Amino acid sequence: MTSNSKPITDVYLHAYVDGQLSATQRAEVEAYLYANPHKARQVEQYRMLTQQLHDKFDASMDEPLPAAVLALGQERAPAPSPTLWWGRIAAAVAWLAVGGSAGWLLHSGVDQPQQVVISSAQQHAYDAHRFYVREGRHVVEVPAADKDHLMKWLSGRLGAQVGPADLTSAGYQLLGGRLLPAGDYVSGIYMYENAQHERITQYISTEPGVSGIDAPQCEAREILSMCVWNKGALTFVLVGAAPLAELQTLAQHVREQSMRPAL
Amino acid sequence: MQHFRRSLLEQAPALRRYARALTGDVARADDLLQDCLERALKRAHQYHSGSNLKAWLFTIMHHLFVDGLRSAKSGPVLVELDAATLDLPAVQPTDGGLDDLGAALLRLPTEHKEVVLLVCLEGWGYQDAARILDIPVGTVMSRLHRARETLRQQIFGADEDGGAP
Repeated sequence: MTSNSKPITDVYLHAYVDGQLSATQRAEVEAYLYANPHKARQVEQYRMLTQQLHDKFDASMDEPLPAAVLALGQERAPAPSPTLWWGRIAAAVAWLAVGGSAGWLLHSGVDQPQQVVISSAQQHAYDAHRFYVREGRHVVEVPAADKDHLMKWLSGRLGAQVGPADLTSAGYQLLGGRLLPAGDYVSGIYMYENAQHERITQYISTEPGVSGIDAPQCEAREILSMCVWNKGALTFVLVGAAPLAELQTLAQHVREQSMRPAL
Repeated sequence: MQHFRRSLLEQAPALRRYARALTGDVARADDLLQDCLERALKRAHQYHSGSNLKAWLFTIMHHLFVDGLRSAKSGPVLVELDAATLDLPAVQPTDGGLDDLGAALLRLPTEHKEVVLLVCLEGWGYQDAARILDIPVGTVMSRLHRARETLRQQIFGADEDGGAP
């Protein structure tokens, strides 16, 4: 039907779909397709197939990368050490646990792609924890003994009633808290410690971090776990070395208690 | 070296998409991605700066995937070789359920699946795909034809006339 001397083979059709042909060759194929409707339909279906592959798999590119992969981007641990290995197992277990129970953002990222880059409020929380967690005596400005005063003080500066949570059922006692500068914003922390002297930091800030995040969203970041959520104009972040799943549970306790009107 | 690490991470999303389509399983794909980047770091000295980093990484992933299939051949879950006649494997439907396309991909022989994904999903040219898989360009083209035809007929239920339902 075409007057072309060159036979148009299937190989040509694929190359046509994949944009591998020169302009002359493209014109030849198009003439051939015009004369052969069933081949044109075949080509159209090849195209739809490509589109379907993209529809199905492109979303995975917007999901946050696994923490273990992100960690590879950091200059650290020249050779896999036993510690790193155990860290990875712990991280993997935590991820599985969280992913299975609470639908963490890594796997729910398809609906709402999350950015891998954390907000500045989260970074401040992270830094505050790392900075104060190793202090022995001066870890807090106001000790737990002065809890009421501490709560009034921080709430006054944060512009909302925010008290410490009671995490004794989870094995953590309040150590105390302090006020922190955060650029143009105000932040406060409550710090807790368990019997193994592991500490977690509850960071509260007027600095916007996330919005519309009602349930704590958690991620592993290097050796720490971090959960973030917001309530009104305040950003809440819980940071600690606890496994991700454990921190998530703690974050839920903190959140629930902060939802209750303070007495 | 820090720059190299960062460059690796820049390629991670595409590698992850490829891994996801290749394995049909989110967790396996992420393992493959991590193994791939770790091996790349370990073999950073073999990478010639200025050459195509992305192609190099896809080559590594190809080797890891094929090696993984080989070493796990005795495992109960693997269904890679000529699975056309088998029932669907018990792979977790982690991509919003196992649709026609997902099922058809799982049934495709690995050599065919790799070619069709590299070209159609990842957008590699035939020459690049040939280099990544270390096969002649002609082989890429013939595998592409067979893979695409298989998928087309399974998805669109095409007859000889290419009629879609």
